[in-house]
Amino acid sequence: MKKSNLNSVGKSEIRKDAFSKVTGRSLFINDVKFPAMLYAATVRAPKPHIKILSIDDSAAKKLNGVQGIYYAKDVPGDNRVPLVFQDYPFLAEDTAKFQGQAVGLVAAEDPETAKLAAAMVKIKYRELPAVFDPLEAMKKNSPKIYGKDNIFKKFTVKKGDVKKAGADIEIEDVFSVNYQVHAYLETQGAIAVPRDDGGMDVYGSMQCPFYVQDAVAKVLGQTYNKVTIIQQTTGGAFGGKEDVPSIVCGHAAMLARLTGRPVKLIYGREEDFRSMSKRHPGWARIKYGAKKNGKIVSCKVKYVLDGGAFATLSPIVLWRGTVHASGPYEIDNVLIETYAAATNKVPCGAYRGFGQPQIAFANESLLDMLAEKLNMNPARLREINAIKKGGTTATNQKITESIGLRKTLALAKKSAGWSRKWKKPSSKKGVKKYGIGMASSIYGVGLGAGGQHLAKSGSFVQIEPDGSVLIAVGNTEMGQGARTVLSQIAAETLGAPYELVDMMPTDTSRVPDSGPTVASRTTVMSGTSIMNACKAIRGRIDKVVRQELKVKGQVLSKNGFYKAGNKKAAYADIIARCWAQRVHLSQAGWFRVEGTTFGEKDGQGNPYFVYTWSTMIAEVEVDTETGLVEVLNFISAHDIGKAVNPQQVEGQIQGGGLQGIGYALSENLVVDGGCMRNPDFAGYIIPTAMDSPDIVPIIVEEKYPKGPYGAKGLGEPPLICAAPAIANAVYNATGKRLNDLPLIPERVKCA
Amino acid sequence: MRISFKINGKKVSVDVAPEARLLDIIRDELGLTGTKEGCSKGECGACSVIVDGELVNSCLFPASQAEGRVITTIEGLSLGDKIHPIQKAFIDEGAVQCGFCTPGMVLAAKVLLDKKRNPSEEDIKKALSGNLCRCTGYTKIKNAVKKAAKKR
Amino acid sequence: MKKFIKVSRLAALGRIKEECVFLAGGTDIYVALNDGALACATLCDISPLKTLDGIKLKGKNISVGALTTFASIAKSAVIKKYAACLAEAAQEVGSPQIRNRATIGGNVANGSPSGDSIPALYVLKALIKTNRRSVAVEQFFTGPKRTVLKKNELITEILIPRKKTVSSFMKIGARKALAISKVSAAAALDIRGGIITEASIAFGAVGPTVIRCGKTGEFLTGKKLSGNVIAKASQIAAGEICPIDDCRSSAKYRRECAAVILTRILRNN
Repeated sequence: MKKSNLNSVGKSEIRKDAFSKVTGRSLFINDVKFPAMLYAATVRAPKPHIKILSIDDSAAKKLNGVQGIYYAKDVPGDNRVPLVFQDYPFLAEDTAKFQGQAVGLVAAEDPETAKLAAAMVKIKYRELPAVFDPLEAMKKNSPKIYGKDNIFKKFTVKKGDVKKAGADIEIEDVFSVNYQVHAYLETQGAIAVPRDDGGMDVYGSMQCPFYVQDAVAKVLGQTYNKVTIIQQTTGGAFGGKEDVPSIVCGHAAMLARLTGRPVKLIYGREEDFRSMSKRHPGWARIKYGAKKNGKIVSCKVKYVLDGGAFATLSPIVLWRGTVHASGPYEIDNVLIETYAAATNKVPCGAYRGFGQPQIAFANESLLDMLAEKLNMNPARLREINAIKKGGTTATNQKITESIGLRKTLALAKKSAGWSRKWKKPSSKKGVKKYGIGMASSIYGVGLGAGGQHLAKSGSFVQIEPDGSVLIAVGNTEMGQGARTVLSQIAAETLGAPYELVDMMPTDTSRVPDSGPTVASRTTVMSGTSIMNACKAIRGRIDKVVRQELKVKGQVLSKNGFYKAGNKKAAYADIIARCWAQRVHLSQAGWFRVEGTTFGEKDGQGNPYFVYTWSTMIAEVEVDTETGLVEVLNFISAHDIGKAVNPQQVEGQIQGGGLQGIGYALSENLVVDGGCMRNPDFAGYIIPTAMDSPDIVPIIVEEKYPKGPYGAKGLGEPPLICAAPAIANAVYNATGKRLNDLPLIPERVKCA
Repeated sequence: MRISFKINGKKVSVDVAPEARLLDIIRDELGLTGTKEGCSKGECGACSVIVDGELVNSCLFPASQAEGRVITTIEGLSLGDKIHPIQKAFIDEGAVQCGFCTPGMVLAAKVLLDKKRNPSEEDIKKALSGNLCRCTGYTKIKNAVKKAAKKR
Repeated sequence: MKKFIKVSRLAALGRIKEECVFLAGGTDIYVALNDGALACATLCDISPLKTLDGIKLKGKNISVGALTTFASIAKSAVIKKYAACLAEAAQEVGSPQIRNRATIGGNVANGSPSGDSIPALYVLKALIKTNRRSVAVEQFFTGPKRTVLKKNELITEILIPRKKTVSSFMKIGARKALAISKVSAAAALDIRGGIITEASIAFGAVGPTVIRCGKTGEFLTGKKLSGNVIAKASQIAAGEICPIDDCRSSAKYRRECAAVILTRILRNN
C-alpha cells in the first residue's frame, strides 16, 4: 500500500464533536432555555383543502398562561417564505391547502398550556375540492390548486432522437414510489430571542442558517444585519431541515417579536410527521431500447413528482431527477420529460438523493428487465453500457476525469462473489429463496446549473497565537462529519496538527455564507474555499519558515513540523515567530463554480462540474410464504475522489444505505384522502438494529483534480440506488417483478 | 409530591406532580439534558435511562414510581475528561454521527455489558433493538459494543 | 388527567369513589396521556401492590401476578417449562425497555386485539383473577380494547393450569423489534403416544378480539401431527378468523399468513 505523504487528509481522525455527543454534553435546541421564555404551539388546518371562514379562539385565550394567539394578519413583515417560487405562506390566509398546514400560533407560559390552547382553537371552514394524485392533478378538469395546470415545473432533456435509435429490442414499464420520511431522531425546533436593539437572534435545528436568515428577516420586516441565526447541534436532517426550518424559525421569531419575550417552539413527533417536508412520491414510465448485443441506444422517460400543496423545493428536486433519469449509461438517444405537480398534501422537499432515488428505482429495475429480455447477466449489461472516460451523459456532457464507475462495479462484484452467486430466478427452490441484485448510479456533485446562483462558498480561517486554528464557514455539521472533514482539510493545507484545528458554530453574524449544506457539496465547495484561504496563509508562513531555517525551496509539513531541505522547525515555534513578526495569519476564502450549463429547451449542457459514481449489490433471502425479506448482505461501492476521513465515509455509506433499505422494504407512509394514517414510529417503520445487515462500504478514489485533495461529494449517493438493488435481488429470488415501493411483505408474498 | 432517589450516585429530592414523566424530572427539574425526547411514546429509545439496573423509556416512567430508585443517565458515565470505556469505544469506532440517539444507545450497551461479558452478535442487536438510529446504519455502533466488551 | 391516587394496599381499592384508570408500568397509559386521551381520568398507581408481582406455583396452577413484567415472564424457568408460548410471546413484546416495564395485567386489561400475551393465555386456558371474581380468558374480552372489567375492578393474577402441554407462539410484524403484530398465533397441544388428546389454537390481530379456533382444535383432536393434518388444520383456522384491512396490513395477507404461522408452529412440535 502506498504510504501517504498527507498528515491528516485520508486519515480516520476522531470526530471533533464525538466527545461532547457521547457524554450527552452537546446542547440540542430543546436542551437550551432563556429567562422569561415562552413556549409556542401551532394551530393547524384540520382538512386537506379548506376555505377558512372564521376562527374562534375565545376559550383558548382564556386559558391561564396563554400570552396570545396570532395569525397571518399579525405577521409583522411579509407572509411568504422566501424560497424558489415563494408561494408558501408562513401562516395560512384565507385558505389552507393541506391537512396540517399552519394556521395560527399560540404563545404560553408552559408547553402543555400552549398545546392545550392550540387544540381548543376552533376553525370554521368550508371544504374545497381537493386533488390527491399528481397524475389526476395534471388532468384538464382537476381542481386547480396551483396556477392554471397544477404544474409547478417541467423539464425536457433531448439528446439525439429516440424515434430513430434503431433498437432491436425495447422494454417499457411503469414504476411508482411512496413518500419517504426523514425520521431524524430530533424533531424540528427553534428558540427566538428578541434583542434590545430591535433585532432578533434565532437558535435552531437546521442545515441552512442563511436560508433561515432570509426567512426571519422577511417575516419580521427586519434588516439582515440585525437578524442572527445560530445553528444548534442538530440531531439529524438528511434534507428535512433544509428549507422547513425557515417556517419553524419564522414562527418562533414572529412570536418573539409580538410578545417581546424569548419563544421556544419544539415540534412533537406526530406534528413533525404531518407538517414537515418529505421525499416526493413519484411515478415514472420508462423505456429502454437496445441492440441485440446489449448496447442501449435509447431511453425515454416520463417522470412525475407529487409536489404537495406548495412548490417549495419541487422545481429543483425535479431538475436533479431529470438530469440523472437515464442512469450512468452511455446512451445516444434520450428523451426525458418531467413534471412536478401540486396536490393537497404536505409539501415535499429535500431528502438525501433529492429526486434521484425515485427515478433510480425505475431505471435500474428496468435495466435488469432489459438484461433478462436480452438473456444477459445484469452486471454484464451494466458493464457494456457504463459511461467511460470520454463518454457522454444524457445531457451530452463529456466525462473527461474522475470516473470510477467501472471500478465500483468490479469491486462490488468481487466483494459479493457475484459471478459465482448470480443465478436465474427459475433455478430457485424452496420456501426461503436467495437472491442477489445490483444497481448503479451517477450523482452530480453540488447544486449544478439549476442552482448556479447559490454555487459559492465563503470562509474565514485564522491561526491563534498558540497555533490553534479557527475556521468560520457557513456550512453546518448535522452528523455527516463536515466539521471534522473541513478541519482536516485546513490542518493539511496549513501544516497544522489536526488536534489544534476546529470549526466554530455556524452563526450568521460570525461566519460567511457558504451556500446551503445540501447536494453533497460541502467537502468540495467549503473544502476548496477553506483551502484557498489556507494556501494564502501558508504562503506567508512558508516565507517565515525559509527565513528561520535559512533555506530556499519548497516547504513541506510532516507531523507538526515544517520541513525544508533537511532542516525542520516545529509548528508552534513558527506560528509564534509569525505573530512576533506581525505576519497576517488569517484569510477570507472564496470559491465559486463556473461553467455549468443546462439548455432550457433540450437540457443539453454540462449541468455539474463532477460526478460521484456508485454500485450497490444486495443479497436477500425472501420468505415466500410471508413475503418478509431479510437482507443478508449489502455492498456499497462509491467513487468519491478522495476519502478525506475513511471512517466517516464508511459511516455515511452505512447510514445512507440503511435508509435506502428502509425505503425499499418497510417505510410506508399511508396517506389517504390527504390524511396521514400512520404518523409515528409505530406505524412508519424504519429499521432497528435487529433489521439491519452490516453494510460493506467500498471506497474508490478516482481523484477529482479540482477537488480538495481530490475529493468529490458523498452524502447522498449511499442511498440513491439501494432500493433497485434490493428490488432486483427480490426479483432474482422470486421471479416476481415488483414495480411499486415499498416492497412490503403484502406485495412480495407469492407463495 | 416529594420524591427522593439516587441519580448518578447522588441522592436527590424533588417536588413534582406524581404523574410527571421521569424524563421531565431528569431534564427540567435536575437540568440533566443528556437524556433526549424523540417521540414521547416509547417508540424510539432516545429517552432511555437505567433504573435499578434495567433499561427503561423515561418518557413512559411515572414520577410516583421513582421513589427510592437508583437511576443512571448518560451524565453518570463520565466526569470531566474521564469517560466510560463504552463511550471511548463509540468515539474510536466512529459510532457517533448526529449524536441524538447516542446517550440512550450508550446506556443500552452498558446494561448489556454489565450483564453479559461476551455478548454474541444476536445479543448485541437485541439489546439495542429498542434504540432507533437514523444516521449510522448501526454497524459502527455494534462494532463499538464489541470493542468495549473485549476491553473489559 | 384530573386526579392522581396511589394505593399501597389492595383493600384500599374498595374505598375509592372515582372511576380509576389503573397505572402499573405505564407503557400504554403514558402513551394515552401524551395523546391527551386521559384528560379527565383519575389515575390510580397500583405499583406498590408488590404481592401482585411474581410467578409462583399454586397447587395445580402457575400464578402470574398481574404486575409481573414481560421481561420477568420471558426469562422465567417455570413459564418456559409449563407455558412456553407465553414466554415466547413475552420475549417479542416491544423492546427491552418496554419489556422491563410492561406488565401482563396491563396487556390484558388494555385488551388490544393485537396484544401479544393474549393468544398465549387463550391456548393455556388461563383464568383471569380480579379483586372481585375469576373470569376465564375466553370470556374476558368483549371487543377491541373492551373487557368485562367493571368500574375499579383490578386484575390481580393470572392462573395457568400446570399441564404437560407443548405450546408455541409466533408473530408477524413489520420488523423484528418494536413491531405491533399484523397477525399472531398460539397453539397448545396435549400429546399422548403421538396422538393429540387436546388442541387449543388462537390468533391475535385478526378479529375484534383474540380468536379461539374451536373447529381447528376439534379437528386436531385425536389425530397424529402429519404434514396433511397440519395443512388441513391451517386451512380450517384461516376460515375461522376475521381479519381486516388497516394501515398496518391487509385482510388477505393476514389470513394467508395466519395459516402459514400456524403451520410453522405445529411443524415445530
